[in-house]
Amino acid sequence: MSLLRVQNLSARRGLRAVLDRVGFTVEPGEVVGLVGRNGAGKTTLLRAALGLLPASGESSLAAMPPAARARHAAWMPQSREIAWPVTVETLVMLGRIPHLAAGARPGDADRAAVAAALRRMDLDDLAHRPATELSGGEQARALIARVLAQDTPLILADEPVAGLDPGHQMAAMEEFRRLAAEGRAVVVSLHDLGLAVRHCSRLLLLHDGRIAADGPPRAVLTADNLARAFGIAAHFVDTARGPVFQPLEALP
Amino acid sequence: MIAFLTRPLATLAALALSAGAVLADAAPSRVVSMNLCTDQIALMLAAPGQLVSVSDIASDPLTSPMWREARALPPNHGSAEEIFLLSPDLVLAGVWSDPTTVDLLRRLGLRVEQVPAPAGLDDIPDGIRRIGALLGREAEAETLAASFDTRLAALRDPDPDGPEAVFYYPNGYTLTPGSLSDEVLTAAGFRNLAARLDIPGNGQIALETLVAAGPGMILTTGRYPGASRSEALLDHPALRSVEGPEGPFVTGNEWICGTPAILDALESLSARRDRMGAG
Amino acid sequence: MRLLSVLSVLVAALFLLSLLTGPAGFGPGESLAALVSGRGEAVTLVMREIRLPRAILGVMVGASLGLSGAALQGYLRNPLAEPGLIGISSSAALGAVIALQTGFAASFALALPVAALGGALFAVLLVFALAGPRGGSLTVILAGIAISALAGALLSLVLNLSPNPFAVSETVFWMMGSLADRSFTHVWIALPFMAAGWIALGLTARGLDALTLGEDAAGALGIPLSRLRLLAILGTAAATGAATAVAGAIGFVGLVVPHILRPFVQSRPGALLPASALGGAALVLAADIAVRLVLPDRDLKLGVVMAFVGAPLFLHLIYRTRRQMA
Repeated sequence: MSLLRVQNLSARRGLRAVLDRVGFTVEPGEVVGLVGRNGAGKTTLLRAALGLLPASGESSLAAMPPAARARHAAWMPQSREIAWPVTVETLVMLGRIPHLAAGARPGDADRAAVAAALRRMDLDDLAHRPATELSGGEQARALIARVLAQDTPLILADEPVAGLDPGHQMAAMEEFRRLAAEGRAVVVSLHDLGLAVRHCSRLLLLHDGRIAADGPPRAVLTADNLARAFGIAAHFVDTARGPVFQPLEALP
Repeated sequence: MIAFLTRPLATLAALALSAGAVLADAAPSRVVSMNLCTDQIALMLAAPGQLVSVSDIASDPLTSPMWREARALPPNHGSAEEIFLLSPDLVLAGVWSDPTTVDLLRRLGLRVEQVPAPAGLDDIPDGIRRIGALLGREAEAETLAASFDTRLAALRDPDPDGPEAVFYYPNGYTLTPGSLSDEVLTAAGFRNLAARLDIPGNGQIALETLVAAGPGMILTTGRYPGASRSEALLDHPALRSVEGPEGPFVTGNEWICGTPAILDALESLSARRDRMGAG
Repeated sequence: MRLLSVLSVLVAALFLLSLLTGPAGFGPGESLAALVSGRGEAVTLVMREIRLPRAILGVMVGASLGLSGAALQGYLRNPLAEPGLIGISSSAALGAVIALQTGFAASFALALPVAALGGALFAVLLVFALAGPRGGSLTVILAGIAISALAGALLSLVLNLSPNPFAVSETVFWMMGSLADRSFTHVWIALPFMAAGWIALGLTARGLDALTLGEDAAGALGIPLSRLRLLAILGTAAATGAATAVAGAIGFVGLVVPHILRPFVQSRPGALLPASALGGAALVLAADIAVRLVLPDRDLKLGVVMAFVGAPLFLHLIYRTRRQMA
């Protein structure tokens, strides 16, 4: 059974169509990379699929009641907002909100989920530090941990690894792969095509509000698509240690 | 510009000076009163047509027992300009009338007489005679003063063992010994609670001090229209249980000035005292 | 939990102290005995009709203001948001004064708090509309200054136009607040609205926690955002409106209390709500005891005491905001 089914999804900002009849499905076990240049509609697509902004068309997520949706899909917005100096642990515990009955306090299962998420994001040492005092990359990891703690079959994340150091970028993407291997699915938007190629099982190339290509990285990042959607040329090879993708130059 | 301003002013001043000089010795024929208390005595004593204006609050039923009579005359609001334009030959003011207005009127050449408020009930007849003399109505004043003396002597009935009473006015203000109202209260056979509590000159009394002292009667004011928190204090439920079976005694417009009307206040207060029985 | 217990004990102690403070000078034992088992003598009357409603109102007003401050800050994610500073209290006072002067307040028992609630609601809606959902510090404060100034001016206009000679001098009460000589009448008219406000704001706890992550993340966590917004608006308006209707506009309570207590609840906006309610009650009781001890004859206004505590803190917070923006 697919975890997300989107059909004919369209959204407008003013008169401009930001999304134009987009459709795709996400199956368990997939790490879907959402790629495209700035303004291609990546964030809009994710938010519209979640039902966070008005859109026409169908999305299996947007159709769910909010509480059920929150147990089915976790969302990590691009803006890394942490309004109050709560501890990292408290921040991650917010991911457990959908699992708490009205008025209930977190129980052992919730604490275990939080501890696991902290460990997965390498945050054990920072667990009791105020989240607002961390570096940008550390905050991003804390927010990913929050998403992990939500413990949902589907994760949607908007540029979750932007600003992380290379080691933690890899670790985060590895984590997404591990989650997919557990039978979940992850949809991430990315600007780093190298990371996308190495860690995503499938890419969605968004161009001018439409899906320009959908498939394995190799099939999506063709020279033609790269030129059309990004205006770049790149070096793409399969090596013994996996695919390597390196953008070379912007095309005139 | 300066000439434009000063010429009419000088003309008016000259006009007033000449009018004053001509009529200095005769009884004044155009009298303006700008004080609530002189308003009332002047209304009682003046010859028909002699009084040309009284203060605006003299026609307010809440403050003036002679508001009906006052309404027959044009009101003034105590400003030098409007009083000057009435071209009076005598202006009656209180000692507490705005000194800048009084000074200005005198500089413009008007005769302004400031009549002190009577300090006690026994000073009221002299106050009446003084205004009578200023108006050239000595005989009328003497009659009024004499009848005041007679009536006061008949009503005055102090009682050192009388019930305690307290004035409780908006914002918790109370009247203390030395005030005319206190004298009326004691003349009616009450003792003023403020005297026992040693409250300094017309100060405030805390609601709970009042309730704890438990006076036999509360004297309070009538209400103004609109609403105020100052007056809302007089509705506090805690007062209901100390104000006695007849409720608070409302001190009306006759309590404000030392005029013969204050004897009406004394009379109705004495009647209440009689109904309350021995203290 | 331990924090709430400590605060409860503090409120209880200050409540008792408030009952024992006053010019009538009864002994503590006598006063409390009269309160519990008196039979109509003067001391009973003073305790039951004057001091008890005053102390109860201190708790109710303080809790309402503390809670409203914590909820507004949580919702706007802005530590400077406070009912007094952003003009909600002065608008509520304006509503109350209009009701009193037009006679609407006398038309039915709850007319006064209804009018105050109307004024408060107007201001909350205006601030929310002007500042937007994220409530940037600058816009919130600017909106508040404008609303406060307008409400203050209209308030003094209404009082100036009143036919009652005492009304005009009462601007001070409405802008600064006081609990002097309030009675059970005030307790009963304020209670239904305050209770409704407390419940509404209490229901925002989880939503405010989630909002730490921003609107989008909170929405995706299953928080019904429009319901949360409605609860925050109505709850603040009801609690602040009722408090202002009976005690005038008391500023800074909702600023000082959440600020002091935030570290004790690890900055969690939801947990800050009950703590701020208790803390607000304690602060207003303490201030109301102080005004009676410092200048017993002068009906010193509560807002004056609060400003001495709150204004320096406010300046400090502005300074800190500036550093964060730099």
